Amino acid sequence: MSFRDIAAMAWHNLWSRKLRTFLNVLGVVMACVVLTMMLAGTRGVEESIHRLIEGSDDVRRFGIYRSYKPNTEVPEEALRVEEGTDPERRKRLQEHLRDVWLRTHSQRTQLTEVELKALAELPHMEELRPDGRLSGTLVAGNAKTNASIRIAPLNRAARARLVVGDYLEKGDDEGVLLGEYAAFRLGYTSDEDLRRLIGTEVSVSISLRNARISPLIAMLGIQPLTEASLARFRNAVDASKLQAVERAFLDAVMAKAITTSTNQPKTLTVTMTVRGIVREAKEEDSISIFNLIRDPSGADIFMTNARATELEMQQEGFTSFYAAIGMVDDVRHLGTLVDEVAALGFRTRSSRATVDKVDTELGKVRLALGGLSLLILCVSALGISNTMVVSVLERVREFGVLKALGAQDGSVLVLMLLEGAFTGLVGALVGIATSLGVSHFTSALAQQYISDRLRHDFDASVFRFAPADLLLVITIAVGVCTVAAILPAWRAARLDPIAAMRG
Amino acid sequence: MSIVMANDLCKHYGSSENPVKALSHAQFSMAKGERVALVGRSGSGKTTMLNLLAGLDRPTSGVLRVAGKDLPTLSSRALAQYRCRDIGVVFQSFQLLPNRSALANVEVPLMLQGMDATTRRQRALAALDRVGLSERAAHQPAQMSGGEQQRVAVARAVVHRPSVILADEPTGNLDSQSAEAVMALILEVVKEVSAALLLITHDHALARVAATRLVTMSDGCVKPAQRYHVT
Ligand SMILES: Nc1ncnc2c1ncn2[C@@H]1O[C@H](COP(=O)(O)OP(=O)(O)O)[C@@H](O)[C@H]1O
Ligand SMILES: [Mg+2]
Repeated sequence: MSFRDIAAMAWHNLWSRKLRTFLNVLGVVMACVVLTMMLAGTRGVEESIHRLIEGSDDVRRFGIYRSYKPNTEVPEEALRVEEGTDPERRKRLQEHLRDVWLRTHSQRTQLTEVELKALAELPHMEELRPDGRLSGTLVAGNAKTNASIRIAPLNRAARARLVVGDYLEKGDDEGVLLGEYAAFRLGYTSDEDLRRLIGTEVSVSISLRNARISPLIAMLGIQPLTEASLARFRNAVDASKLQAVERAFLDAVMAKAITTSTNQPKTLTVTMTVRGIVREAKEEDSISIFNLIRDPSGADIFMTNARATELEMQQEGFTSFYAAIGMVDDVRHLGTLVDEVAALGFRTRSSRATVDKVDTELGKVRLALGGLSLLILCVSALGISNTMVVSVLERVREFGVLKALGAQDGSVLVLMLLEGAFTGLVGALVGIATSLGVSHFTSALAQQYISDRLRHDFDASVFRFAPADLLLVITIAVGVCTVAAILPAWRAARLDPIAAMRG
Repeated sequence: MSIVMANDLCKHYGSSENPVKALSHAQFSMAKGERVALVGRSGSGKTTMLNLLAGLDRPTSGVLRVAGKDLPTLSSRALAQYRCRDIGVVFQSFQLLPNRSALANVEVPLMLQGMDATTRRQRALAALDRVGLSERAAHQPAQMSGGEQQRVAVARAVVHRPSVILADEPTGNLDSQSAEAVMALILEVVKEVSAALLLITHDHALARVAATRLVTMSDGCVKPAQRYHVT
């Protein structure tokens, strides 16, 4: 008996017992609808969230900071915690003390040009932007104002703040954006004024000496020490019999007290063209699930990364780039890139943990829902198994005749298994078709609900039917129904034809 | 050469301490194309003998060769193959597959042999035509009378041209008119395919008409042969 004939016979058997087949298929259909919708629902939500993540510059951005030198020796007396305390707490306290010591004893240093270059050249680093603030003087025509200078961020949120003109494009090193408030201080207020400002040349001057004074010293208004006197002071402290705490205090002060250059104050002036005017960031500009790294938005002058870095380098080494903001080309590479940055000896701050967390949470939901629908499928499989046992009992005579006429046990077994498999297959196909129909109607509804809650555009259908998922549903349904048929099939195959024909 | 050869054939049912000896040391043989009628009282072991010959059951002991095959030694797989190639059986209660057309029922032995669909359809149609039911090919057993059902069963028993045809009281469930027609049909087709026929019946008159030899059974033993005129 060929497989084709067995399959045709199985199909015929199902077809000729319409009510029983219908009820069995109905059970499978319902289970498959639940399974398909759950799979498609989780996938849809997952994709939407991923789109949200991938579309967000916030997630792609991460902070890069210098870490303390990892193999710095911390003197033991700095880590002293009385014996007899809880060992766990002692360990925690010592870690804390170590941290404090490192913070007070290591000098905060700027990122070097070499380091920035190495970071920028890491694979998947779309953009590397030193994070710092220069200050200088802005002159437009006869008007003049003190101005802070920043690198123009390239993300969407920043672009949204453009009021007049065009946003600064990457590579436009001659162009600048002016802050609305800076323009106002220069005497440009109305739309017409601002439009007039577009395309005009402004000059930006940076006082190089000021850049070497730490903000703390500048704030105190005292004269900073020179390199030589700072060194003498350090020696004196080292030689003294100060206690660890006192020494730590002085170290901290010295770390802040960066020397001034002995050079005469020097002014660097560049002429640039105004491309556009941007407004300050408002609260809602930075609304994002992932705004761990807030892009500094307030400044008077925005210029390209290359231009700002170039200005920085005119000075004796970098002075204000204590940190950098990296931007990965694709969220999927965030983890790898952050790891590589860390391997270069930097601390990082990224939304990687959030992204991972979202992934694991989605995985949990998927697992829970999948398990639930599998349970439903198993319940319907139990039902199918039950009706198939009844169906075998009903057809004992028929199987007896088949076997008496020369059907192999294996053929009868396969026949019954196929009846189960067909039930599963038809159920799965109808179930999938039903799901597609149902999703068509509910999708619009659910989408409305979600976009209401998120209060921003959520342009995604809720259910996403991936071919792999549909294939999975079919496989599971056919598999479960075939397994459900094993016992009845075994019974049918093992029937003694004489006894069976007697009825 | 005999087509059926049973020697010292025993079949016991039930426990070995207290067995029901349905067949005990039976001696039986049939020549090629021979038609034998097996008669005997109810419970004498006729059906048991037929089941063994049909490969539906295995003897407890003894030798049994049918169509050149040593049945007790065959695997159940080979025995199933033997059932759909070498023999045809007509049962008392028709034993057609319900929910299947007459044509599909006649096709079954050919299908079990693995014959392709078109060839077996043609042969099944020819067989149905031979029993005068080509008009009813698409009808299901429930739509036919007992006599018609048994004619379908006869077509099924000969469609694969077996060398032995076994019939266990084939007319037992029919009215006398249908019985006569069916019996005549069996004899005709058996002759046409030149098969040997073992006919179980308790109608001696029928046995005399149908068979060339009469064999009587009682208490699981085969009585000495009684030869009839040869037709
Ligand atoms: N499956 C069985 N189990 C136990 N005893 C059986 C079985 N089949 C037949 N018998 C017994 O074997 C004897 C012969 O039965 P059977 O061959 O059916 O006789 P017949 O067909 O001549 O009427 C009877 O006594 C019957 O009760
Ligand atoms: Mg009997």
